[in-house]
Amino acid sequence: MSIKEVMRRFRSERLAFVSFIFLLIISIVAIFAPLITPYNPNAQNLSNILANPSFSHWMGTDNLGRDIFSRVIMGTRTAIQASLFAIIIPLSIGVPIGIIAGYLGGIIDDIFMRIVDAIIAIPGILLALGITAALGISLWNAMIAIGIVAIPQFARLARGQTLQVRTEPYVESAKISGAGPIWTMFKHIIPNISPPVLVQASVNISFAVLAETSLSFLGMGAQSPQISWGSMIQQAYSMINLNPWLIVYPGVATALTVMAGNFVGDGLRVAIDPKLKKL
Amino acid sequence: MYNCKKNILAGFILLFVFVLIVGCSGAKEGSSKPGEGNSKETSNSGGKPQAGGELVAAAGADITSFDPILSTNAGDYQFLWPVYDTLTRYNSKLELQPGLAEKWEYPDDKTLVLHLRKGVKFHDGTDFDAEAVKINMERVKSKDSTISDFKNVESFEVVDPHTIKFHLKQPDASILLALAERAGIIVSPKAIKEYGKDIAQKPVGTGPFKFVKRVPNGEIVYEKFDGYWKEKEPFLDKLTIKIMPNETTRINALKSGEIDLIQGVSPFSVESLEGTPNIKVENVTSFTEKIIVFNAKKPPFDNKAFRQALKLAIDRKAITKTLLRGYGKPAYQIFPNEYWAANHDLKIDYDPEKAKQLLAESGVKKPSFSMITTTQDYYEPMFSDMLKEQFAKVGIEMKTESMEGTAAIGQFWSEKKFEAFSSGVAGKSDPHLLLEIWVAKDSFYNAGNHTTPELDKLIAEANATYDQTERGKLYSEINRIQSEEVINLLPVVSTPVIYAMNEKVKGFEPNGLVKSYFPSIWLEK
Amino acid sequence: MFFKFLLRRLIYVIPTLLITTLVVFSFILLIPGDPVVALLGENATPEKIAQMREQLGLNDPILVQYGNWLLHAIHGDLGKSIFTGQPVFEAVTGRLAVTFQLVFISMLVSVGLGMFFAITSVYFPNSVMDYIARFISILGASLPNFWVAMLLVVFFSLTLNWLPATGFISITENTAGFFKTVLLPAISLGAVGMAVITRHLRSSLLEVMGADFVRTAYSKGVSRWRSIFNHGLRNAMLPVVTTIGIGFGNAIGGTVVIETIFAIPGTGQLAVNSILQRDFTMLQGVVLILIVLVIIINFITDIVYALLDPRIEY
Repeated sequence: MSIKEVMRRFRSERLAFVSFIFLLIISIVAIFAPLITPYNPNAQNLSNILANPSFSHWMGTDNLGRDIFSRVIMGTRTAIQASLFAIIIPLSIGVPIGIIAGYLGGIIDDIFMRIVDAIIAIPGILLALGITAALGISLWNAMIAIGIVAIPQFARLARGQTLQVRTEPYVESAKISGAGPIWTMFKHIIPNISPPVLVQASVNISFAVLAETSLSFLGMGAQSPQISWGSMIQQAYSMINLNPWLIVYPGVATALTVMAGNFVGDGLRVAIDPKLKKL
Repeated sequence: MYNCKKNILAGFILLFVFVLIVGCSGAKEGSSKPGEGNSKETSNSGGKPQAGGELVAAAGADITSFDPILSTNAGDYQFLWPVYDTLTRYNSKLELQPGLAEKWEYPDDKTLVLHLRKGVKFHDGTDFDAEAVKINMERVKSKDSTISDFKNVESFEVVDPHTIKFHLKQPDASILLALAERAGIIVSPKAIKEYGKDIAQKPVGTGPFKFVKRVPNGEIVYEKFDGYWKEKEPFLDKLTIKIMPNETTRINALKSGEIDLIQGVSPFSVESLEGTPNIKVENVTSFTEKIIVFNAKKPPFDNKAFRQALKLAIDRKAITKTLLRGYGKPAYQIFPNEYWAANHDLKIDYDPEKAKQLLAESGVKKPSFSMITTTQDYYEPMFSDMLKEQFAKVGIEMKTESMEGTAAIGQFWSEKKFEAFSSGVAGKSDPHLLLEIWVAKDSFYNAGNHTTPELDKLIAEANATYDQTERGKLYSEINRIQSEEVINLLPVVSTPVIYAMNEKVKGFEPNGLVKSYFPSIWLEK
Repeated sequence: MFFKFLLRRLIYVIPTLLITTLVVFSFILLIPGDPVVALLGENATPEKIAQMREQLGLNDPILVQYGNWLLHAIHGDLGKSIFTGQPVFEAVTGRLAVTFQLVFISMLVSVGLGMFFAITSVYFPNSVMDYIARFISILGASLPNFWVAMLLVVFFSLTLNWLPATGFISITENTAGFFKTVLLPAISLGAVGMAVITRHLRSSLLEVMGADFVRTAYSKGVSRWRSIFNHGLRNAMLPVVTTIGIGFGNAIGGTVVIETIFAIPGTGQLAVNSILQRDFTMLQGVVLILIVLVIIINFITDIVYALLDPRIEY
C-alpha cells in the first residue's frame, strides 16, 4: 500500500486529521513559545499573587504572581520535547532489536524476548522513576527514561511484524536468489513493518506526555525554571484550598494533547488497515 | 469512525461544565487575604483536669524504632514519651525540669550526681532504681547505639539504689538536657534482658501509658498505666496515634472529628481551619528554620564579603509573607530570638544596596553558585525561585540542582559535591547539641569545616559552663560571630509549627521542636 | 496440549524474574545517595555512618549483595527494610492487601461502568446516553489519572464534603468506611480501563448484533434486550477479557501516583518512597512481588482467553 493512499485515507478520518493539525499547532507554539507568551513565564510579581482571570492575565496568576497563561504556553515545549524523545529512542533502539530478534530467531530471539518480557513486567512509571533516580533528576533524564521505558513495546512489535514478513514468499525467494540479510531487512522488512510502527509511535505521543506530567508531578521531571504542566499541577495541588482553578489549566492542556495523540493513532490505524474501520 | 462532530461538541460542553463547577466551587477561598502575623495563642491551662476519655492524634510518619538507641527521627518522641520516662524533662521554653531524676548537682566539674525518684515502677512490675539507669546509660554509650551525646562521659557509678554518678572526661553542660531526650530514656532492664533486640516490638518503660499495639504505618495504641508514679496522671484512659502522611488527610480527619489533634499544619491550609467551629489553632515559637547551608571551602563561599552580601540580599520579610503566608518569622540565627541561648539583639535588615557594595568589595567576578534543592517538598521550588530573583537583583546568579532528599544529603555532606544546599534545621533540647552537629568545626553538617579560632573556643567554653546565665551570654556571642562571619549557614525564615485541635483538648503544651508530649492532655467533657 | 502450554509459560517466568531483580539491583549500583546518612538523621556523625554501613552489609561488593539477597529470596526471606527494620515480605504483603482492594474496586468500576455505557449506547443508538458513552470512551483514556483524582477531590471532598479527600480504611475494618475511602481513587484509577472497555465492547457488540444468527433470533421475536444479553454479550466478551488483563497491569502501575495523592498505604506508595529513601531491600521486594502479581494475572488472562476462544492453539 502506498504512503500516498494512506495519507489520503488519513485525511478522510476527520477527527484524526483535526487532531493532527492540533498537534502541529502545538509544536509550532512550542518552537515559538518565548515570542508568544504575553509575559515572561518566570517573572514574579509578589504584589499580584493568586489573581483571578482577567484581561491582563487570561488564566490568572499563581502564588508567586506569575502569569499562568504564559506558563501553560511554555509548557508545550516540555510536552513536545518529551514526545520526540519517547519516539526517537525506541525507534532507534527498540525497532532494530525487534527486527534482529525476529529475523535471526533461535537463541538470540529467545534472549532478547525474555529481557523484553522482564522489562515490560515492571510497571512503566516505576521503571521511569528508577531510571530517573539513577541518572539524576532533570527533565532531560526524565525524557530519556520515558524513551527507554517505551523500547520493549517497539521491540516486541517490530519482532512480531518481522516474523510475519520473513515467511512471505517474496522474502523467501529473495533469500534463495542470494540476497544478503541486510539487503533483505532494508528492502523488504523495514518498509513492511513501518506502518504499525508508525501507529505505535503516534500513540506513544500520548504515553510520553502522560508520563512526563506524572514524573514532573512526583517531582522527578522538570525543575524550575523549566516549566512542565505536571510540575504546575504539583504546585497547584498544594494550594488547592486557596485556589482550585490552578489545577485546571495545565490539566486541560495535558488532556487535550494526549487526546490528540490518541486520535492520530486511531486514524492512522484505520488508514493503514481499512478493515479496522468498523472498530 | 463515528459521528465525531456532535460527539466532540457534546464532550467539550460536558468538560467545560465540569471544569466550571470545580473552579467556581473553590473561588471563595481563592480570594481570601493572606494571614497577618501569628494566629491567636490559646491558653490551655484553664480549668481543672478531668479524668477519662480517649485522645486520637495524628502523626505524619511512623516511629523509626521503639528502641531508644536505634530511634533516629525527631518525630519519634511523640511515640516514645507516652511509654518511657526520661531522667530529666524540659518545658515548652526548653527549660530544664525534673523527670525520673528529682534533683542533680555537680560536686565538681567532672562529676554529675542524679538523685532518682523513689517508688517508681516499670510496666512489668519491676522497680526503677540506679542499677536500671546504669544499664540504660551504658546501652546508650555502647557501639550498637546511634546516640552520641555521651562523648564526654567516662563511666557511670551506682552510689546507692537512688543515686547515680556520671564521671566525665571533661565538663559538659549539655548532658542534663540530653537526658530529657533519647539518651535519658529508661527501658525496663528485665525487658532488655528478656527481649534483647526485639525490645523495639515490646516497649516497656515507666511512662504514663502502656504500649498496647502497633500497626506499622497505621496506628499505635496505648492505654493508661495505673501504677504511674505521678498521682492522678495520666488523665486519659487511652491514647491512639494514627499515621497520616498527607496533610489534607489529617485536616479532613480533624474536621470530621475522626481525630482530635494534628500537627504540622502548613501555612497554605491554616486559613481553611481557622474559621472552623470547635477547632482551635496554635502557632508556637518554632525552632525549625529554613536555611541555606554552604560549603565554605568552595568558591565563591570562601570569600567572606561574598557571604555577607548574600546574607543582606535575602528579603526575609517577603519570603515570610509569600511563602509562609504571614505565619512564621524572618530568621537571623539558628535559634528563635526569644530562646535563652539566642542573641536577642540580632537582626538582619534587607539591604540590596549594601549587598551590591559588599559584592563589589569581595572582588568575586561574575558571582554565581549552584544550590541543591530537594524535589519532594512542593514549596522548595517556590523558595528557590524567590531566592533566585532576590539574588539576581544584586547581581548574583543562583543555579539550582534538584534531587531527592536522600541524594541531596549524601551528595552535599558526605561527598561534598555542591556549593550550597537549601536545607532546614530542627532544634535540639540543648544549644550545644545543635551547635556541635551544625556549626562546630568537626561537625557533620558543617560541610566545609569552616570556623574561626574564636568561635571554636567559645563553643567549647560554653559547653563547659554550668551556669545558665553565663552560658547564655556565651551563646549570644557565638550567634553574633556566626552571623557576622557567616560561618556555614544563612538562616532565612523560621517556619511555623502549627497545631490544630478539637476545642475539648486541654492541657497540651506544644514545644517548638515539634516533639509533642501528649501525656499531659485531658479532655473536657 | 493445554498442560504443555501452561508448563512452557511457567518456565518462561523464571528468566523474567531473574532479569527484573537484576535490573532493580543495578539501580542500587547506579542511584546516587546514601540511605545511611538519611537514616541516621539528627544522629549522623562520620563514625556512626561507617558503623551503620558495616552493619547493613552495604560495604560488600554489589554482586555479593545480590547473591546473598537471591539466596535468601529463594528461601522466601526478602530481608529487612533498611529504614524501619521491618521484614520486607511482611511489609509488602501488608500493603499488597490494601493495593489489591483498591485495584479490585477500580476494575469493578472499569468493567461495570464500561459494560453499562457500552450496552446502553448500543441499546439506545443516537440517544443522549449513546453520546455520553462515546464521549467517555474518548475522554477517559486521555485524562491523566492524577488530574482526574484532583478534580474528584476538589468536587466531591472539598466542595460537597461527601467523601474523604485522602486516606484508606480496609474492608476488614469498616465496610462503609472502605467504600467511602476507596471510591475516588478507584474511579481515578479505573477511568482509563472504563474508556477502553466501553469502546471495545461497544464496537464488538455492534458487530455481533449485525451478525446473522442474532438477526435470526431477533426476527423470531426475541426482545432486543435479551438478544443483547444472550447472544451479543457472550460473543463480545473476548476483547473485554483481554482488556481486563491489560487493565490490571496498568492499574498496578497507576497506583504509584494515585496512592501518593490519596495517601493510601499501598505498594505503589511504598515503591515510590523506597526509591526516594534509597531503601533498596524494600524496593527490591516490592518490585519482585508486583511483578509476580502481574505475571500471575497475565497468566490467568491467557488461560481464560484460551478457554473462551477455541480457535487459539496452545
